[in-house]
Amino acid sequence: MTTETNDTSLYDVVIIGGGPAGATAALYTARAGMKTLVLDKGLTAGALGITGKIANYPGLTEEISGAELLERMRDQAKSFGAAFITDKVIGVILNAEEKMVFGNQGTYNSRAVIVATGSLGRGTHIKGEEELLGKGVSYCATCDAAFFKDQDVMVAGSSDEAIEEALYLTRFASRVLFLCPHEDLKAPQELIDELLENPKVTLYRETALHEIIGTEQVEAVRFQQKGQTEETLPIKGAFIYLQGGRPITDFLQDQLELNEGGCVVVDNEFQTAIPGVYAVGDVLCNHVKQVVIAAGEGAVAGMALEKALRGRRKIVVDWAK
Amino acid sequence: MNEPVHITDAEFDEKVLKSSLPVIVDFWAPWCGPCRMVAPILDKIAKEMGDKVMVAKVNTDENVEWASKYGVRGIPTMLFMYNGEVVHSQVGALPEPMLRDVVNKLLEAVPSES
Repeated sequence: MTTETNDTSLYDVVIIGGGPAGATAALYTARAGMKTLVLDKGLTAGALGITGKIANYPGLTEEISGAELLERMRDQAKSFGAAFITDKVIGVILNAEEKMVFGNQGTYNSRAVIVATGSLGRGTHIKGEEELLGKGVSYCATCDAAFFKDQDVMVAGSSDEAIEEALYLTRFASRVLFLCPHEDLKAPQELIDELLENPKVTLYRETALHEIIGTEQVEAVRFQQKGQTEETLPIKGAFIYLQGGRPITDFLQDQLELNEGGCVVVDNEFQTAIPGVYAVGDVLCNHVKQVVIAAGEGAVAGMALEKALRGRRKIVVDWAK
Repeated sequence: MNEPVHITDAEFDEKVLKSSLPVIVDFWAPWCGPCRMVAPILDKIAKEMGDKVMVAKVNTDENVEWASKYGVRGIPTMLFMYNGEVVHSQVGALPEPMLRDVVNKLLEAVPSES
């Protein structure tokens, strides 16, 4: 994980989400000379990163994976000066001149924010998950792994985020059950290899998580691997990184208006009701879920934001006269 | 007291359980992002309401005894205590208005000192 978290300086823009929408917005804002930071959970945390093959991105005629296309977009944004930090955003303060973005690794301050978190959020909880939150159920291994020293824990997920968290847990836990809903893990191969080679990890592929069991504390997990009978195994901790099909907006904590579909509401330049706060990509509704559209929205927001911030700067200069 | 008090395991009984004021106990650790999110809010609450409530911070990295006794398995966990009893517990960070609501409701429920 990247740990450039000591930079307490003010960014012009913090972009939450490094998929095609966020990376393209970063390309435009960085190229316009704005101090740009992209926060992202990992290369395969979003829809493009886990897409096997992209055949309809204009101009790209060779066979290319989603992750590779995304890496190219990120490299391009970096070449113009955008910084990328691997971190999971857990909260924000948007309704202030200087906005704050809280991550698991650090806190980031900026004049503007672009929300580009995509739509792989979960809509429903597993049975027992909500009741046992903080009693063994966790979404942050870095926060809570130490409570599970020499105990058995479970990780559910398939992205690089889930694998990184599982590997972190192996430093404390005696055994890590890794329940992957798919046949394959969706992450860079070296990360997958590291997981598979770790003696503390037992991987269950094509496995559905059914229930976290416990009264006062997590006691067991009930799950079923494809073609097998249901199993219940004792565990003390359950770390959940599953994905779904809902816009990821929980970290906004009601600070932005959402429509009935749970999507962020924006104007025609992708600005929300809060000046300086934009939203682009799959986190919006009425949206064709295509890379080219997400990238286009990122470009519009990046340019609009640049114009707005430069305008404000000009006013500040005028006042100073 | 208008700032949070850092409490060790050894001091917990004396300073928290025997406190005459209601206490918000914040179990936290330096590596925890959500804890960093809550900390400035608790600082403000301590500053503004220091005559009504004590904010006690327990670093679970160095103090495991009471965290373990209260079954804390995730941080931040905030226990709202009065007369040595846990009257409410909050797991995970809350936005400032919601955290303030919780604190105010609890203070309403606590009889004012005569």
